[in-house]
Amino acid sequence: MTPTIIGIIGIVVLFLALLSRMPVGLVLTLVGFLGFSSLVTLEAGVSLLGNQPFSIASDYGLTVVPLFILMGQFAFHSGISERLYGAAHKVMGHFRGGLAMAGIVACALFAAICGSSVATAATIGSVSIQEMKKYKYDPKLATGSLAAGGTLGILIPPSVAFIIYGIITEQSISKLFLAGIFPGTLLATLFIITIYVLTRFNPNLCPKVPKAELKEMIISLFGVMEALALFALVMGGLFIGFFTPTEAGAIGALGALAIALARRRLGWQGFIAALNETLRITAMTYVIIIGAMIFSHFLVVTQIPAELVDVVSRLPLPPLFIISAIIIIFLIGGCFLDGPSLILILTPIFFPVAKTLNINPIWFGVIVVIMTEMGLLTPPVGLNVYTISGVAKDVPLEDIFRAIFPFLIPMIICVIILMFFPEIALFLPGLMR
Amino acid sequence: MTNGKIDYFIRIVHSLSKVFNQVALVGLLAMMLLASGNVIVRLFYKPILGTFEIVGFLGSVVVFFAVAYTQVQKGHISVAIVVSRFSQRTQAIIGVITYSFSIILCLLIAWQSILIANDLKQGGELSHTLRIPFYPFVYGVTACCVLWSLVFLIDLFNSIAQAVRK
Repeated sequence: MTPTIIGIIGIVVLFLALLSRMPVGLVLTLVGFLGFSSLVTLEAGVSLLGNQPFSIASDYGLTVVPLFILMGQFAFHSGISERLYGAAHKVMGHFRGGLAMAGIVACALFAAICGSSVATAATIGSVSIQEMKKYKYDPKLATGSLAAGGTLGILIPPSVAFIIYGIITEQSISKLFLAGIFPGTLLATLFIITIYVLTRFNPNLCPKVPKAELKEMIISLFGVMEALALFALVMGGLFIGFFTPTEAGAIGALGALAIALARRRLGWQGFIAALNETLRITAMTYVIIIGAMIFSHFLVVTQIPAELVDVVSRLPLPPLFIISAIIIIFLIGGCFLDGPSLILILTPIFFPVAKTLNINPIWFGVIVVIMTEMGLLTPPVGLNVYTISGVAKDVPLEDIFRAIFPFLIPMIICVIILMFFPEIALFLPGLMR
Repeated sequence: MTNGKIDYFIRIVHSLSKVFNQVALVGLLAMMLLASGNVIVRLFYKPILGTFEIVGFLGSVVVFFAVAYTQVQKGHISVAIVVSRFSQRTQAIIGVITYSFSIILCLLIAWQSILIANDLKQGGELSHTLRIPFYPFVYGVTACCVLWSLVFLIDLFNSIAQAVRK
């Protein structure tokens, strides 16, 4: 058997084994180890199992992962979300669909200090769904918009998804973070337009909400300041090159902790809960990263990425068509895999193809992250939908899955806009040296 | 083993996982304080020597000392969509297979880590700046993987019990 055939068998076995409910990271490790051993030697395979875990876990560059997760966890426990949603509610709540729009704006603002979509959806969802319920908003509009809005958590920096993509493709995390700002803002705007269109055609979805007084609006805006200041500090430091991404994560976590303590919102229990939750997500993510790295070693010796590059470069098709095909594969993968697994399994296969097509790796990262966002919404494994379902227990899960479909359209539109105007993503990273 | 002994074993493994998790927790706090402290100190004075090395070592502590407790909490992501549709018995049988593979993998990693740590110890491998030995951290990986395999062993017991239950 040729290495490529063994590689294809390995990929098929991987996808079958993934369905066995074995932890994703261990499935990747097992298939990668067996495949690598069969193509090289058992000794080399066992040695790969020994050296990869420690060298990955002790890599300074990777410590950015727990620190940005910690920042998001402290922000989650700090009460910032209530002030963000409060401000957005006061300013735009009286518009048609305004409370749902305020949810999107609050998600976008919270995303600027949190790198996780699930945490963004859970945090803003727990504040805003109650408000929308109070004003008798349609539950499907409320939950669907928030599940979608929450996905902004990984597009607007900081973002664990960009960090993982940056690690596996050896791209600058700072540049990836900057590349996410405008597309994230664009997507938030498209979500708001979607809410406007939905409520315009069906005004029953959202009863009128009284307008806040100007004074109230202005006061509420002060609640946004601390989040924006923290975002400016972290991204500013990265942009001018004063911090490494790890340091930015540490400063961000310390800043979020300081805000939580200053506001007297974080007790001892919350503090420990934030640390424990960070450890859980970190261990889970690293196990997948380690497995993906071992699996990539196997992929390299199968020569599948190289063969794929060779085949694709000979295809008489425009790059846009090939990228569209890759996007569809990510979309299908996203239906079954969580965010980190999706990025870590599919990127090593398709990144070399993108490079051959002379596609900017930072731009490709933005597209991969948007596809990951869609994967967080699509059934059967739409993690954000499950998260919102946990917050809005009275809304059936199927209703929320149905409610997110109108919000997949702006995501597709966002990808199309980025295909024709890549500068939206590449302008800010282009300013960095 | 009697039920009492199994319960005792489960209690010990879960308590150890919690203790290891607390070590990871301290490591995480230290990592945040050191990395941010380095930024603040170098603003006014000069960088803290060896920060990169210590943060890297702490990374291995944070990750590996938390893996076992994450497994206790069933926090490792898996795709349950297909298996959850099967009967309890079939789920248990699949569990027996996957937990067995998981135990083997953890023990293989643990075994290889011991060999690497022994080599590092004998070779006197030290970090570049602070001259900290690598091997204790690699032994740490071994201990954590063994503990992780014990948590899987408990899951394996449960699956076997479910599979043979009439």
